[in-house]
Amino acid sequence: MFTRKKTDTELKVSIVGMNERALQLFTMFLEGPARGSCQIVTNGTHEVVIIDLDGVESPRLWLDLRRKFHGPVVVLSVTEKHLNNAFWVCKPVQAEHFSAAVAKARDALKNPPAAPVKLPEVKPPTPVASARPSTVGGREDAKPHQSSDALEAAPTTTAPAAQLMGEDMDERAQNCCGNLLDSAYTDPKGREELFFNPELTLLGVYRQALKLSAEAGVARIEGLGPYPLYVGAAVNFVSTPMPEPFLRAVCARSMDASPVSVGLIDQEPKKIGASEDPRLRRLDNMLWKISLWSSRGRVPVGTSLTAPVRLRGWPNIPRLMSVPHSMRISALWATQPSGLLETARKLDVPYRFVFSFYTACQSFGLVELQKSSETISGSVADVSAKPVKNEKRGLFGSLLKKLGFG
Amino acid sequence: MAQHKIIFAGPVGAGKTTAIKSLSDIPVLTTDEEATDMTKKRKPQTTVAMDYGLLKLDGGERVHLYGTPGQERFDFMWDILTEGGLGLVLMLDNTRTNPFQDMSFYVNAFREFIEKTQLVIGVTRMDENPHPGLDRYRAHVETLGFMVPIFEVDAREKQDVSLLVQALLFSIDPGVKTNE
Repeated sequence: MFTRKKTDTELKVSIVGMNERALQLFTMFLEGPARGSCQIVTNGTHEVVIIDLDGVESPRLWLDLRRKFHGPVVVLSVTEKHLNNAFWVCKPVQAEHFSAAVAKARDALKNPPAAPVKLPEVKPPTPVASARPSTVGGREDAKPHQSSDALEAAPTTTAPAAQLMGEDMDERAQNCCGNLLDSAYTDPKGREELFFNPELTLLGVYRQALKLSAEAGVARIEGLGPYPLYVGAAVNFVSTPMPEPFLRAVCARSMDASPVSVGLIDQEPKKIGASEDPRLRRLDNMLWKISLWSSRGRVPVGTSLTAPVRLRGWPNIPRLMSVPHSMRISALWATQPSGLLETARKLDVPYRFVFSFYTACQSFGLVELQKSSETISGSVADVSAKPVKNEKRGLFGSLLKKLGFG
Repeated sequence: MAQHKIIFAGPVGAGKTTAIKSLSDIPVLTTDEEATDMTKKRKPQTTVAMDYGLLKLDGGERVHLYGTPGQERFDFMWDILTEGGLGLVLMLDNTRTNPFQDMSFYVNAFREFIEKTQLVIGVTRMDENPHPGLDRYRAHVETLGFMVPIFEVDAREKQDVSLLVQALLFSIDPGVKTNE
């Protein structure tokens, strides 16, 4: 690769969070409109890091980065970011704004900021039957009562990329259920990581738009980067030019960090709904995806992890984004209501699939938490001990393999 | 070797024959005849005895797929067909005047069999007529005393029919896993 000699004014930078194509484009930007501001280095001698924080993995990337690097960071994102010792540049990146952020980073190198103030410890949420989310603060929806500074210091059980590669996790699973490791679920100290506040995610905003639309017509969500989202509950459609990767990224960020608004527009739902516009998507599909991508292996704050979950109705699995093991989880909850943690253990499936699936089903009103006393007596042994079931397990296993399950 | 079978039932034109064709490893044997009664309005040919398909599994086991005739006057066949069946796949057509009446009829007709085994419901042609929605089907089947998988399906799509059968198996035994 062609490299220029570094001038005295250029900062040595490292790039994080960009794929090959994005990196090439950004390199062209540095060689063109932003020439003279930075030079990319790959030998670990960087003074500043430039990170793209719009990917679905961005919370993990940020945590990983901050564990290794405490210097100034230039953050590229479509939404405003307030992170410690970091300087936000709005995407699409303009040379003028980028140069300003680089200048701030340079100043920060000369005058490093004081160490972040340590916040008091956070109590894990009290599990109650109600799924009503509590009020939380902070910018990251996964961390109730934590500020961005606390987020940087927080321990994490999210898996490093290399570790994930070695796991039995296909792309489908990563796409829909996040990457929390099972250890996050089994360690009582890490329980707060298992909860999120839907009201601070796109899920909450989308529900609000659904409600508004059901009452009065077409609702518009604005503030999600350059893509508005129109919701027409009466005609069962959503219209948006938003690409799916962008939608996933939006689901991963907190809605209180940027001015997102929901309002009604003066438009007949049928006019939009009858269109052949390729931007039209099914309302239920969109709710399902937003639920999964907002959840990423977590459940709404306040959800009991032990109360038995009863399935009130099966989700329309053939028409919804696939969640690994959703059939087995549904069948268990339909026949033997089981707690969230217990479900994963009984079926021997990763916890994050169970948690994500629960959150999506809850958005559709398809699950309910029972009181413990209502638990139908059942255990792992019960599931496998019924003679009628056992005698056909071999056949069923072969048949499922034939049908392409797994 | 034991014989296993899955039964497909439902009204005329709901997609039973097509669903079996989607899954079967052999060309499906049908007993279609030209319809001569009211059925002709919905479908020029209709199954008068049964459809038959076959799934060949590793290890030599076989699962027979039987489709019941849609016309009620052939219901004497149903008891014979269900003998030893693993469960019932009920196909319902969302463009029919009263699909809930169809559901009630078939669920009641096969009630004894369903109570011993399992039921799944596939609703076809929802793209042509999205109403009633699946939530109303769920509510109706509950009034009949069941809470079962109900999916929107296209009987021509192997994946859709496969998911119906998977749901049937997991409903019988959530603990089952594929044989590797």
